[in-house]
Amino acid sequence: MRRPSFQGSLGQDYLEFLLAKFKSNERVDGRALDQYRKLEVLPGVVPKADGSAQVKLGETQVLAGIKITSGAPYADTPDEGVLTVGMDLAPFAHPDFQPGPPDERGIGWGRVVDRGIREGKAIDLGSLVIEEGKKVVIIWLDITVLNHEGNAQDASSIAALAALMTAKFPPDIAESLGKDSIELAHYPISVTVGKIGDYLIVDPSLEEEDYLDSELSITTLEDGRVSSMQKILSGALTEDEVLRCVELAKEKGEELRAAVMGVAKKYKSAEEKKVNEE
Amino acid sequence: MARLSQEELLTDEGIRSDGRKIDEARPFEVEVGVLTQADGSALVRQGKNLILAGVMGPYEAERHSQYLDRSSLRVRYHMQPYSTNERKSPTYSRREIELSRAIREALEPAVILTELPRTQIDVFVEVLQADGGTRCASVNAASVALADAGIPMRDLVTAVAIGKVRDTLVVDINDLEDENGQADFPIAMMPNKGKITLLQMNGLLTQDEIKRSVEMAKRIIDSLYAVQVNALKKKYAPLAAPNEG
Repeated sequence: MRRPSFQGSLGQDYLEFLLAKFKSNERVDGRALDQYRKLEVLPGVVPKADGSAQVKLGETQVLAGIKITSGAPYADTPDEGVLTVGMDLAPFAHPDFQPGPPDERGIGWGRVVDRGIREGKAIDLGSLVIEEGKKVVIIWLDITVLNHEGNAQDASSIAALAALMTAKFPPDIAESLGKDSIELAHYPISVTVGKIGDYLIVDPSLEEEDYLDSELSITTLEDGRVSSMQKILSGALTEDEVLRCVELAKEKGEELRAAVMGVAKKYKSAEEKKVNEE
Repeated sequence: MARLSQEELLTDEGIRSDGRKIDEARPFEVEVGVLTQADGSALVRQGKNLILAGVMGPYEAERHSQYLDRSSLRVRYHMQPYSTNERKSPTYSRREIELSRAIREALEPAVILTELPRTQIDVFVEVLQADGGTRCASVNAASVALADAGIPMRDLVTAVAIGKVRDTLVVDINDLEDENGQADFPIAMMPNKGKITLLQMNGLLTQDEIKRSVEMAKRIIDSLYAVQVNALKKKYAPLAAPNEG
């Protein structure tokens, strides 16, 4: 059943208000057009998971949890571990979210995170084999959107990276692999750029999302390469706009990546200290 | 899940596997209003349980599910795949359906549904980490979230599970005691009304043990209730104070 939604209810006047603001490089919440909201990354919030991280991007809240098991590989990739990305939209996260499996929007967010990691070869799946063709490591990465106040896409991508970076193999798997954590070869971060009128804005808020013509999510790696792109919504982009989005994704991706890596490093050294003290 | 003997669950000195005494509850914390999209919300930590409840509503119910004289309360209890020791399949399970009903019926006596005819109130509970007694922790979170949403209520609802290990009754059991113990007896009450709104039992108890379990539960429920009330006061007392904020 559908709960009442307020999408677009602010009307045409609000759109004109947004555009007038953008003209002076300003947004309703005081940000510049190329500015993210305040980012908070909290690794280890679910100690029973093998890895976890909660991300707050402004008021948007996303939780990523990782469980690591072993099992049979896929028949077509007997010499590779398995990464499975799941997406769940908590029904209290937004009036439009329904209980049950995610809708096309939620599936889309999960797919962008999945492709960014997989295509960017962030995880060397070849190193996750216990017995070729028989037993490999399975990484279950499950992402839950807890509160949707816009750009759940990038919050999900950040939470996924932070959870992967701070995850630990269960003891039996660590023993068979001879290492205790997932070695990341790359650090994919998605940056979402929205288009309203002729303006490009990063990290759209929920109010802004209601008025987007189109939205482009671009995942970059630390070396500047792009590992996934996804354009959504019914508007169109010019060639020049796409290139400007890529530029923004590199620049903003670097900022976000530095923040995530800083937090993950700090968390890992604190964890190591704890283990050494025990 | 680790297999523990009754002697491991309770030592000769009366100490439980996690170091607690038999009548000692786990640490209990409540945070109110942690979400912006829900009309009411609460985050509960009860031992290692980490449970987030969000309330959407009241809003106008669809015609076919509308009651002319009262609101309809829906509850959905859901566990995240990473919340348990073994990864839980994301598919909705029979256990989740059973617990959703138990939680709904634990809350219903406290909610004054007749104040809100033709409406619907949704309570969504997400278990982010499970540690035994999740239905009780869910009730504790959900009733605070309902209060936070401004839903008219007769009382809060507060719950705790009593268990039996090594033939001894213990309060607020964790998952090891739930799995390896001799009984699991979750009880929810409206503390001010002194009425029981959730009661289930798995295991074997004597008539006398049932009597003593309820007495033990009441004592713990009173202390948990104080934490729930304080959490609500922390958010709302400043709003009620004259000439401030």
